[in-house]
Amino acid sequence: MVSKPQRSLLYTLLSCIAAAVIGSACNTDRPPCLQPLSAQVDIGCYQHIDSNNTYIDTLLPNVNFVSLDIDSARFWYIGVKNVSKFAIILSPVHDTTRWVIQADSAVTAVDTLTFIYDRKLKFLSNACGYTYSFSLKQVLATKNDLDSVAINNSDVTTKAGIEHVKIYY
Amino acid sequence: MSRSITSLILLMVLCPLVTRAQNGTDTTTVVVSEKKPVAETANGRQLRLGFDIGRLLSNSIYSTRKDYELMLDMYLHKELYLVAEGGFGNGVQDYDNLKYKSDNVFFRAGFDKYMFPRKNPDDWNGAFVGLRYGIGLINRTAAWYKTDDGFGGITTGTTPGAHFTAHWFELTGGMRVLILPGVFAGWNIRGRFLLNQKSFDGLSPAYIAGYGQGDKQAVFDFNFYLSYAIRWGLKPAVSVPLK
Repeated sequence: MVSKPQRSLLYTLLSCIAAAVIGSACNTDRPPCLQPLSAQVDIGCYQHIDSNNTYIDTLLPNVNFVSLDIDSARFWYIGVKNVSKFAIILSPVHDTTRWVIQADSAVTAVDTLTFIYDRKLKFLSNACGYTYSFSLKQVLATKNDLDSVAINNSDVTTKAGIEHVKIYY
Repeated sequence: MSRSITSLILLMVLCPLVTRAQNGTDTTTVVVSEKKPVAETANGRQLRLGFDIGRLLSNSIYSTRKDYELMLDMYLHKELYLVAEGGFGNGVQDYDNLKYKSDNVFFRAGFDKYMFPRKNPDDWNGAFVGLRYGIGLINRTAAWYKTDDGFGGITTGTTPGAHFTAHWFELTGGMRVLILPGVFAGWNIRGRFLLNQKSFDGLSPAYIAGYGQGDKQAVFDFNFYLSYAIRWGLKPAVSVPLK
Protein backbone atom coordinates (compact mmCIF):
# COMPACT_ATOMS: atom_id res chain seq x y z
CA MET A 1 0.00 0.00 0.00
CA VAL A 2 2.68 2.47 1.02
CA SER A 3 6.10 1.62 -0.26
CA LYS A 4 9.19 1.97 1.88
CA PRO A 5 10.51 5.06 0.13
CA GLN A 6 7.10 6.64 0.42
CA ARG A 7 6.90 5.83 4.11
CA SER A 8 10.27 7.37 4.81
CA LEU A 9 9.25 10.34 2.71
CA LEU A 10 6.08 10.69 4.71
CA TYR A 11 7.97 10.61 8.00
CA THR A 12 10.33 13.24 6.69
CA LEU A 13 7.40 15.28 5.52
CA LEU A 14 5.56 15.06 8.80
CA SER A 15 8.61 15.90 10.88
CA CYS A 16 9.33 18.92 8.71
CA ILE A 17 5.72 19.99 8.96
CA ALA A 18 5.93 19.71 12.73
CA ALA A 19 9.05 21.86 12.68
CA ALA A 20 7.33 24.40 10.48
CA VAL A 21 4.30 24.54 12.74
CA ILE A 22 6.45 24.93 15.83
CA GLY A 23 8.42 27.62 14.06
CA SER A 24 5.33 29.50 13.08
CA ALA A 25 3.95 29.09 16.58
CA CYS A 26 6.96 31.02 17.82
CA ASN A 27 5.77 33.98 15.79
CA THR A 28 3.59 36.25 17.81
CA ASP A 29 0.24 37.03 16.26
CA ARG A 30 0.31 40.41 17.97
CA PRO A 31 3.26 42.33 16.57
CA PRO A 32 4.57 45.16 18.77
CA CYS A 33 4.28 48.81 17.85
CA LEU A 34 7.72 49.95 16.71
CA GLN A 35 7.11 53.56 15.74
CA PRO A 36 6.50 56.84 17.52
CA LEU A 37 2.91 57.34 18.64
CA SER A 38 2.93 61.09 19.16
CA ALA A 39 3.42 63.74 16.52
CA GLN A 40 5.91 66.25 17.84
CA VAL A 41 6.71 69.79 16.78
CA ASP A 42 10.44 70.04 16.16
CA ILE A 43 11.77 73.52 16.90
CA GLY A 44 15.16 74.98 16.02
CA CYS A 45 16.65 78.15 17.46
CA TYR A 46 18.72 80.48 15.27
CA GLN A 47 20.61 83.72 15.54
CA HIS A 48 20.99 86.46 13.00
CA ILE A 49 24.73 87.10 12.74
CA ASP A 50 25.26 89.64 9.99
CA SER A 51 23.55 91.87 7.48
CA ASN A 52 23.59 89.22 4.75
CA ASN A 53 20.66 87.40 6.27
CA THR A 54 22.92 84.66 7.58
CA TYR A 55 21.54 82.62 10.45
CA ILE A 56 23.29 80.01 12.54
CA ASP A 57 22.10 77.63 15.21
CA THR A 58 22.16 79.25 18.57
CA LEU A 59 22.58 77.21 21.71
CA LEU A 60 20.28 78.45 24.40
CA PRO A 61 22.19 78.58 27.68
CA ASN A 62 19.68 77.37 30.24
CA VAL A 63 16.28 76.64 28.76
CA ASN A 64 12.88 76.24 30.29
CA PHE A 65 10.08 75.07 28.01
CA VAL A 66 6.73 75.04 29.75
CA SER A 67 3.28 74.07 28.54
CA LEU A 68 0.44 76.28 29.66
CA ASP A 69 -2.22 73.81 28.55
CA ILE A 70 -1.14 70.67 30.33
CA ASP A 71 -2.91 70.90 33.65
CA SER A 72 -1.97 74.38 34.80
CA ALA A 73 1.65 74.37 33.65
CA ARG A 74 4.10 71.60 33.01
CA PHE A 75 7.83 71.87 32.48
CA TRP A 76 8.79 69.96 29.36
CA TYR A 77 12.42 71.11 29.47
CA ILE A 78 13.76 72.51 32.69
CA GLY A 79 17.20 74.08 32.97
CA VAL A 80 18.48 72.31 29.85
CA LYS A 81 21.88 73.68 28.93
CA ASN A 82 23.29 74.53 25.51
CA VAL A 83 20.58 73.07 23.33
CA SER A 84 19.21 74.53 20.09
CA LYS A 85 16.70 71.84 19.07
CA PHE A 86 13.51 71.01 20.93
CA ALA A 87 10.52 68.75 20.44
CA ILE A 88 7.18 69.65 21.95
CA ILE A 89 3.64 68.33 21.53
CA LEU A 90 0.29 69.82 20.63
CA SER A 91 -3.05 69.15 22.24
CA PRO A 92 -5.27 66.83 20.18
CA VAL A 93 -8.42 68.11 21.88
CA HIS A 94 -7.91 71.82 21.14
CA ASP A 95 -7.03 73.86 18.10
CA THR A 96 -4.44 75.95 19.90
CA THR A 97 -1.67 75.12 22.32
CA ARG A 98 0.48 77.59 24.24
CA TRP A 99 4.04 77.10 25.31
CA VAL A 100 6.38 79.37 27.27
CA ILE A 101 10.05 79.48 26.39
CA GLN A 102 12.81 81.04 28.43
CA ALA A 103 16.26 80.93 26.88
CA ASP A 104 18.16 81.48 30.11
CA SER A 105 16.17 80.74 33.19
CA ALA A 106 18.42 82.88 35.33
CA VAL A 107 18.45 86.00 33.24
CA THR A 108 16.14 86.36 30.28
CA ALA A 109 12.48 87.22 30.00
CA VAL A 110 9.94 84.59 29.00
CA ASP A 111 8.09 84.45 25.71
CA THR A 112 4.82 82.73 24.91
CA LEU A 113 4.39 80.72 21.73
CA THR A 114 0.82 80.10 20.56
CA PHE A 115 0.41 77.33 18.01
CA ILE A 116 -2.77 77.47 15.93
CA TYR A 117 -3.46 74.34 13.89
CA ASP A 118 -5.85 71.84 12.36
CA ARG A 119 -5.79 68.33 13.75
CA LYS A 120 -6.56 65.09 12.01
CA LEU A 121 -6.98 61.56 13.26
CA LYS A 122 -4.49 59.32 11.51
CA PHE A 123 -4.21 55.54 11.40
CA LEU A 124 -0.67 54.29 11.97
CA SER A 125 -0.96 50.51 11.95
CA ASN A 126 -2.87 47.71 13.60
CA ALA A 127 -0.11 47.38 16.16
CA CYS A 128 0.09 51.10 16.94
CA GLY A 129 -3.51 52.17 16.43
CA TYR A 130 -4.42 55.79 15.83
CA THR A 131 -2.74 59.06 16.58
CA TYR A 132 -3.27 62.71 15.68
CA SER A 133 -1.37 64.66 13.07
CA PHE A 134 -1.48 68.43 12.84
CA SER A 135 -1.27 71.10 10.22
CA LEU A 136 0.17 74.35 11.56
CA LYS A 137 -1.74 77.42 10.45
CA GLN A 138 0.00 80.07 12.48
CA VAL A 139 2.48 80.50 15.31
CA LEU A 140 2.14 83.62 17.39
CA ALA A 141 4.86 84.77 19.75
CA THR A 142 5.57 87.50 22.21
CA LYS A 143 8.88 89.23 21.63
CA ASN A 144 10.26 89.88 25.06
CA ASP A 145 13.46 88.01 24.28
CA LEU A 146 13.13 86.36 20.88
CA ASP A 147 13.09 88.18 17.60
CA SER A 148 10.64 86.27 15.43
CA VAL A 149 9.10 82.89 14.73
CA ALA A 150 8.56 81.18 11.36
CA ILE A 151 6.84 78.00 10.22
CA ASN A 152 9.33 75.91 8.26
CA ASN A 153 7.10 72.86 7.65
CA SER A 154 3.44 72.93 8.59
CA ASP A 155 2.80 69.16 8.56
CA VAL A 156 3.37 67.79 12.03
CA THR A 157 3.34 64.01 11.91
CA THR A 158 5.22 61.15 13.53
CA LYS A 159 7.84 61.48 10.83
CA ALA A 160 11.17 62.37 12.37
CA GLY A 161 13.89 64.72 11.16
CA ILE A 162 11.69 67.56 9.98
CA GLU A 163 12.05 70.98 11.56
CA HIS A 164 8.63 72.54 11.76
CA VAL A 165 9.28 75.88 13.47
CA LYS A 166 12.28 78.21 13.58
CA ILE A 167 12.77 80.65 16.42
CA TYR A 168 15.10 83.58 15.74
CA TYR A 169 16.96 85.45 18.45
CA MET B 1 9.51 35.44 8.62
CA SER B 2 10.83 32.31 10.28
CA ARG B 3 7.82 30.42 8.92
CA SER B 4 8.57 31.44 5.37
CA ILE B 5 12.25 30.55 5.72
CA THR B 6 11.35 27.17 7.14
CA SER B 7 8.96 26.54 4.26
CA LEU B 8 11.56 27.43 1.66
CA ILE B 9 14.00 25.03 3.29
CA LEU B 10 11.30 22.36 3.19
CA LEU B 11 10.78 22.85 -0.50
CA MET B 12 14.47 22.54 -1.23
CA VAL B 13 14.90 19.49 0.98
CA LEU B 14 11.85 17.58 -0.11
CA CYS B 15 11.83 18.09 -3.86
CA PRO B 16 14.75 15.70 -4.39
CA LEU B 17 13.02 13.20 -2.14
CA VAL B 18 9.93 13.32 -4.31
CA THR B 19 12.06 12.61 -7.32
CA ARG B 20 13.51 9.62 -5.54
CA ALA B 21 10.03 8.43 -4.58
CA GLN B 22 8.93 8.65 -8.16
CA ASN B 23 11.97 6.70 -9.25
CA GLY B 24 10.94 4.09 -6.70
CA THR B 25 7.84 3.34 -8.76
CA ASP B 26 9.83 2.49 -11.85
CA THR B 27 9.32 -1.22 -11.30
CA THR B 28 5.60 -1.20 -12.14
CA THR B 29 4.17 -3.38 -14.87
CA VAL B 30 4.07 -0.79 -17.60
CA VAL B 31 6.34 -1.75 -20.44
CA VAL B 32 7.41 1.18 -22.47
CA SER B 33 9.64 1.22 -25.48
CA GLU B 34 12.47 3.69 -25.51
CA LYS B 35 10.99 5.41 -28.53
CA LYS B 36 7.63 6.03 -26.94
CA PRO B 37 7.36 8.99 -24.54
CA VAL B 38 6.79 7.72 -21.02
CA ALA B 39 4.19 10.33 -20.14
CA GLU B 40 1.77 9.10 -22.73
CA THR B 41 1.17 5.92 -20.80
CA ALA B 42 -0.05 7.87 -17.75
CA ASN B 43 -3.67 8.38 -18.63
CA GLY B 44 -6.84 8.96 -16.61
CA ARG B 45 -8.48 11.76 -14.73
CA GLN B 46 -8.40 12.59 -11.04
CA LEU B 47 -10.49 14.91 -8.89
CA ARG B 48 -9.09 15.62 -5.45
CA LEU B 49 -10.80 17.31 -2.51
CA GLY B 50 -8.62 18.42 0.36
CA PHE B 51 -8.92 20.06 3.75
CA ASP B 52 -6.21 22.17 5.31
CA ILE B 53 -5.64 20.41 8.63
CA GLY B 54 -2.77 22.77 9.43
CA ARG B 55 -5.40 25.45 9.99
CA LEU B 56 -6.90 23.43 12.81
CA LEU B 57 -3.59 23.63 14.60
CA SER B 58 -2.99 27.30 13.87
CA ASN B 59 -6.55 28.05 14.98
CA SER B 60 -5.71 26.55 18.35
CA ILE B 61 -2.40 28.41 18.56
CA TYR B 62 -3.47 31.88 17.51
CA SER B 63 -6.12 33.53 19.58
CA THR B 64 -6.67 36.41 17.19
CA ARG B 65 -7.65 34.51 14.07
CA LYS B 66 -9.58 31.51 12.87
CA ASP B 67 -9.90 30.17 9.37
CA TYR B 68 -10.88 27.06 7.46
CA GLU B 69 -9.85 26.11 3.98
CA LEU B 70 -10.77 23.55 1.31
CA MET B 71 -9.04 22.79 -1.96
CA LEU B 72 -10.18 21.05 -5.09
CA ASP B 73 -7.96 20.10 -7.96
CA MET B 74 -8.49 18.18 -11.16
CA TYR B 75 -5.89 16.58 -13.37
CA LEU B 76 -6.19 17.82 -16.92
CA HIS B 77 -3.26 16.49 -18.92
CA LYS B 78 0.51 16.66 -19.13
CA GLU B 79 0.94 17.15 -15.35
CA LEU B 80 -1.35 20.16 -15.35
CA TYR B 81 -3.97 20.51 -12.63
CA LEU B 82 -6.81 22.97 -12.45
CA VAL B 83 -7.14 24.17 -8.86
CA ALA B 84 -9.88 25.90 -6.88
CA GLU B 85 -9.56 26.79 -3.21
CA GLY B 86 -11.89 28.52 -0.83
CA GLY B 87 -12.78 29.06 2.76
CA PHE B 88 -13.75 31.51 5.43
CA GLY B 89 -12.42 32.91 8.66
CA ASN B 90 -12.30 35.81 11.05
CA GLY B 91 -9.89 37.96 12.98
CA VAL B 92 -10.04 39.76 16.29
CA GLN B 93 -7.99 42.84 17.08
CA ASP B 94 -7.90 43.31 20.82
CA TYR B 95 -5.17 45.74 21.74
CA ASP B 96 -5.45 48.22 24.57
CA ASN B 97 -5.62 51.03 22.05
CA LEU B 98 -7.54 49.37 19.20
CA LYS B 99 -10.38 46.85 19.11
CA TYR B 100 -12.44 45.48 16.25
CA LYS B 101 -13.42 42.26 14.53
CA SER B 102 -13.40 41.18 10.92
CA ASP B 103 -14.59 38.20 8.93
CA ASN B 104 -14.34 37.17 5.33
CA VAL B 105 -14.82 34.52 2.71
CA PHE B 106 -12.26 33.90 0.03
CA PHE B 107 -11.82 32.06 -3.22
CA ARG B 108 -8.70 31.23 -5.20
CA ALA B 109 -8.37 29.71 -8.64
CA GLY B 110 -5.41 28.76 -10.78
CA PHE B 111 -3.35 25.80 -11.80
CA ASP B 112 -0.50 23.59 -10.62
CA LYS B 113 2.16 22.19 -12.89
CA TYR B 114 3.88 19.06 -11.62
CA MET B 115 7.58 19.10 -12.19
CA PHE B 116 8.08 15.46 -13.13
CA PRO B 117 6.09 13.39 -15.63
CA ARG B 118 3.99 10.54 -14.34
CA LYS B 119 5.65 7.18 -14.80
CA ASN B 120 2.44 5.16 -14.96
CA PRO B 121 -1.32 5.55 -14.49
CA ASP B 122 -1.06 4.93 -10.74
CA ASP B 123 1.62 7.53 -10.17
CA TRP B 124 -0.02 10.62 -8.69
CA ASN B 125 2.74 11.73 -6.34
CA GLY B 126 4.80 14.75 -7.09
CA ALA B 127 6.06 18.23 -6.45
CA PHE B 128 4.61 21.19 -8.22
CA VAL B 129 4.60 24.91 -8.73
CA GLY B 130 1.49 26.93 -9.39
CA LEU B 131 -0.20 30.26 -9.85
CA ARG B 132 -3.38 31.58 -8.27
CA TYR B 133 -5.65 34.55 -8.39
CA GLY B 134 -7.40 35.20 -5.10
CA ILE B 135 -10.32 37.32 -4.01
CA GLY B 136 -11.55 37.99 -0.48
CA LEU B 137 -14.76 39.69 0.60
CA ILE B 138 -14.20 41.24 4.01
CA ASN B 139 -16.35 42.88 6.65
CA ARG B 140 -14.81 44.90 9.44
CA THR B 141 -16.82 46.04 12.44
CA ALA B 142 -16.64 49.54 13.83
CA ALA B 143 -13.28 50.05 15.51
CA TRP B 144 -12.79 51.45 18.98
CA TYR B 145 -9.57 53.34 19.50
CA LYS B 146 -7.75 55.14 22.25
CA THR B 147 -4.96 57.67 21.92
CA ASP B 148 -2.74 59.09 24.62
CA ASP B 149 -2.65 62.79 23.91
CA GLY B 150 0.71 63.28 25.61
CA PHE B 151 -0.86 65.86 27.88
CA GLY B 152 -1.85 63.25 30.40
CA GLY B 153 -5.28 62.76 28.87
CA ILE B 154 -6.86 59.92 26.96
CA THR B 155 -8.86 60.37 23.77
CA THR B 156 -11.22 57.63 22.67
CA GLY B 157 -13.54 57.23 19.73
CA THR B 158 -14.87 54.87 17.11
CA THR B 159 -14.48 54.67 13.36
CA PRO B 160 -17.30 53.16 11.31
CA GLY B 161 -17.22 49.62 9.99
CA ALA B 162 -16.24 48.97 6.41
CA HIS B 163 -16.37 46.43 3.60
CA PHE B 164 -13.30 45.54 1.61
CA THR B 165 -12.57 43.46 -1.44
CA ALA B 166 -9.07 42.09 -1.67
CA HIS B 167 -7.51 40.90 -4.92
CA TRP B 168 -4.22 39.13 -4.89
CA PHE B 169 -1.85 37.13 -7.02
CA GLU B 170 -0.15 34.09 -5.66
CA LEU B 171 2.88 31.94 -6.42
CA THR B 172 2.86 28.55 -4.80
CA GLY B 173 4.85 25.36 -4.63
CA GLY B 174 4.41 22.11 -2.77
CA MET B 175 3.97 18.40 -2.97
CA ARG B 176 1.39 15.64 -2.68
CA VAL B 177 2.11 12.11 -1.54
CA LEU B 178 -0.28 9.17 -1.65
CA ILE B 179 -0.36 7.71 1.87
CA LEU B 180 -3.41 5.46 1.61
CA PRO B 181 -5.49 4.36 -1.37
CA GLY B 182 -7.00 7.58 -2.64
CA VAL B 183 -5.71 9.62 0.32
CA PHE B 184 -3.01 12.24 -0.11
CA ALA B 185 -0.96 14.31 2.31
CA GLY B 186 0.86 17.37 1.13
CA TRP B 187 1.78 20.95 1.68
CA ASN B 188 1.94 24.27 -0.09
CA ILE B 189 4.06 27.29 0.51
CA ARG B 190 2.64 30.48 -0.89
CA GLY B 191 3.85 33.94 -1.66
CA ARG B 192 0.97 36.38 -2.00
CA PHE B 193 0.97 39.85 -3.46
CA LEU B 194 -1.92 42.18 -2.87
CA LEU B 195 -3.05 43.86 -6.09
CA ASN B 196 -5.23 46.62 -4.64
CA GLN B 197 -3.18 47.90 -1.74
CA LYS B 198 -4.72 51.36 -2.00
CA SER B 199 -8.09 49.98 -0.97
CA PHE B 200 -6.51 49.09 2.35
CA ASP B 201 -5.14 52.49 3.25
CA GLY B 202 -6.37 53.47 6.66
CA LEU B 203 -7.66 50.89 9.09
CA SER B 204 -7.35 47.66 7.16
CA PRO B 205 -8.34 44.30 8.66
CA ALA B 206 -5.46 42.82 10.61
CA TYR B 207 -6.19 39.34 9.28
CA ILE B 208 -7.78 38.20 6.03
CA ALA B 209 -8.50 34.49 5.85
CA GLY B 210 -7.03 33.09 2.66
CA TYR B 211 -4.55 35.95 2.37
CA GLY B 212 -2.91 36.73 5.70
CA GLN B 213 -2.06 40.05 7.31
CA GLY B 214 -4.30 42.64 5.73
CA ASP B 215 -1.87 45.49 6.25
CA LYS B 216 0.95 43.79 4.32
CA GLN B 217 1.35 44.05 0.57
CA ALA B 218 3.23 40.75 0.36
CA VAL B 219 2.85 37.77 2.69
CA PHE B 220 3.98 34.17 2.91
CA ASP B 221 1.81 31.33 4.07
CA PHE B 222 1.86 27.59 4.52
CA ASN B 223 -0.84 24.91 4.16
CA PHE B 224 -0.88 21.26 5.05
CA TYR B 225 -3.62 19.34 3.26
CA LEU B 226 -5.18 15.97 3.64
CA SER B 227 -7.14 15.13 0.52
CA TYR B 228 -9.13 12.35 -1.05
CA ALA B 229 -9.09 11.58 -4.76
CA ILE B 230 -11.50 9.91 -7.12
CA ARG B 231 -10.32 8.74 -10.51
CA TRP B 232 -11.87 7.75 -13.79
CA GLY B 233 -10.86 7.12 -17.34
CA LEU B 234 -7.91 4.99 -16.35
CA LYS B 235 -6.97 2.79 -19.29
CA PRO B 236 -4.99 -0.42 -19.04
CA ALA B 237 -1.29 0.00 -19.17
CA VAL B 238 0.05 0.30 -22.70
CA SER B 239 2.37 -2.49 -23.72
CA VAL B 240 4.60 -1.78 -26.64
CA PRO B 241 6.50 -4.81 -27.96
CA LEU B 242 10.21 -4.34 -28.11
CA LYS B 243 11.79 -4.50 -31.54
